[in-house]
Amino acid sequence: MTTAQRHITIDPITRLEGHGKIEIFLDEHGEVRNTYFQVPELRGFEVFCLGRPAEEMPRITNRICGVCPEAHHMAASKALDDLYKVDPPSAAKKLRELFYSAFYVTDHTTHFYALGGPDFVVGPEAPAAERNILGVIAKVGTEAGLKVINTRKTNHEVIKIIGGRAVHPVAGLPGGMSKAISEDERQTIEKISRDNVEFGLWSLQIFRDIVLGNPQYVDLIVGDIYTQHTYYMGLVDENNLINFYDGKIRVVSPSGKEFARYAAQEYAEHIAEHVEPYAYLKYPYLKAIGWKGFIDGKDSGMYACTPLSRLNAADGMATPRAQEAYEEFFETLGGKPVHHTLATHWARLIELLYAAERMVELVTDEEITSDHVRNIPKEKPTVGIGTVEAPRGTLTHHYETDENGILTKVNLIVGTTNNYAPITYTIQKAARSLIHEGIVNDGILNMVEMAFRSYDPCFSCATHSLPGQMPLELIVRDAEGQIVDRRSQYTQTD
Amino acid sequence: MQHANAFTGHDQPCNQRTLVIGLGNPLLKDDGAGIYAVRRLRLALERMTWVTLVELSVGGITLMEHMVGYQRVILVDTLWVPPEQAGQVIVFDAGDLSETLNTRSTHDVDLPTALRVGRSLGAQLPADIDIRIIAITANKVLDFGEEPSPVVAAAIPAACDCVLQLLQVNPVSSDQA
Repeated sequence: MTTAQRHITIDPITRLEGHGKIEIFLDEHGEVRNTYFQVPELRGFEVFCLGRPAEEMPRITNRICGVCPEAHHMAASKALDDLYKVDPPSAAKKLRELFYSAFYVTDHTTHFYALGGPDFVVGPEAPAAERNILGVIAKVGTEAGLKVINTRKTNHEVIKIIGGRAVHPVAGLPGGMSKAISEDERQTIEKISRDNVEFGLWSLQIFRDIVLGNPQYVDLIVGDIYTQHTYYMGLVDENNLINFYDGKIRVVSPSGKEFARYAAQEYAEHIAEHVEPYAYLKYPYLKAIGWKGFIDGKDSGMYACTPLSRLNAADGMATPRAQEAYEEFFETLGGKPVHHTLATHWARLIELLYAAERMVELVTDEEITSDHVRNIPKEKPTVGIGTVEAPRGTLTHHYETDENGILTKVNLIVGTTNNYAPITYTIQKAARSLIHEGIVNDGILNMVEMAFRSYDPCFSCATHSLPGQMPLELIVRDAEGQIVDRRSQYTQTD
Repeated sequence: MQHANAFTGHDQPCNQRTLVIGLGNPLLKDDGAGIYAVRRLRLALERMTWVTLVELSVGGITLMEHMVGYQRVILVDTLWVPPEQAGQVIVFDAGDLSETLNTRSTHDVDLPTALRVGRSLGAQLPADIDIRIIAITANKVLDFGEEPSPVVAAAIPAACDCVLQLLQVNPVSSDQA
């Protein structure tokens, strides 16, 4: 090590989103003095939308993200329901939730097996070249890989059947859906849904065998490095059980007590945004607590909304096998709430199982093939706010229009934005815990990135910019600002 | 669970099936160039039943999944360059993609990795040399807008002609397209 202070940065570049950057500043003793996590924010999208008919939003907003277009399509459709004060028919709501559950299965599958899971399935200290989906396939077998890819493919088929297109859906309209599904289509979806349940159970067993069966991994999950005590947010139904499509937003305190429970339309009464001079993105926080900086605990307004947060914020799961998994989760990790960020990967698989079971419930509902899938809007539009629980956190679309339905204001609060403060805090804590005496290597920096990856962040829509890629660079600087280590995510730089 | 053929594509006929993909985001000015090129080709290719045209705004695994079952793929996309280099058409194949523009995503893998994943799982995918990429160089890929910049718009016919040459079809004139 040098005697000078050092500075580490994690920072990739693509055409799509500019770049995200983690910078780690070391002091003269080689200890972490501070960390900064920066994401570029491009507000052009909201301006681009102004002056357009509001009903275009479900088809436009799903173009700002190649990762979760379905989430934007649903939030936009719900915002239009609210804008025109029209309640969709029951069958339309069920179709939307069925569609959305299929999306959850594909999205959580991708993250666990291709993105976050390799840290555990292959190992946090494995060479970077092996710590990817190919490494996972090598570890768990080709048949397993085929299951993963097939699950994605078949659920994209469900998305296409209901949403009208496999990638950028078009079926959501104010007041419902543009089309119903036939009995043949229902049968196709039922088979896929039942396969999904088996896949969800199988994935949880893989997690038990490979992760929970390894004491070293369990120690890593429950250790202090990745533990933080924040407020937790998630959408819940009338029984306070998790729901991805609809319900009230519930917030629990770090001790697990209900702190707030409110409708999407009331979000501005509960959430405010803090601005840091170095950051493009704003940091949302709980208004009633206030912004106290990047610290955890009940006196800090910082909150998280992730799969783990949703499990903490709810009283349980609305389907039986997922409820069993939920109970096992909290029993294993010492009760509610769980504050271990890396447990988010496990929580994600429990949500995957819930989504699969929910699909079976919905697709076997006798109303699901009803032709009555839309109520025609009759009210003049003014303000519309719609919220769904996106895989990466609570997603809210807020539109205001003139009396002709032409947009005059657009505000999108996306899942990853909600998590900006806790991601920053998690990175800072991991870096301070792992980097000492100036010793920085690939294994240590990957463990810093693991803190980031557990959130499954997607900044394409957080920055309101582009489709689906969030590159990341990590830079380490000494006390004089000189770069002493630099790497880009997933690739080792010189 | 039955997973045998849903992904691998082995149950699909393979009579020189060719997929032409227009890749990009039509809300981002020049990034939509591939999409606009494919739209321009629809009429010229409508009688070629062995050719499928699609517009996609995806990458990585999802892009690979769309290629399953085809013997050849022609991908029309935008390549980000400095402003003075915009408006050219470059043709190469997937074997040249050591690093794609979305390599370092937090929520996807790059195309070469996705192709390796697919092949390792037995998917019927074209060889790298049969995945031809027609890149239109462009700069305005970060600006919101539904039309490409003039220099990129002027390059789209040439990109279309490249597609037709690869399909061994006579190029169409502007008024036919």
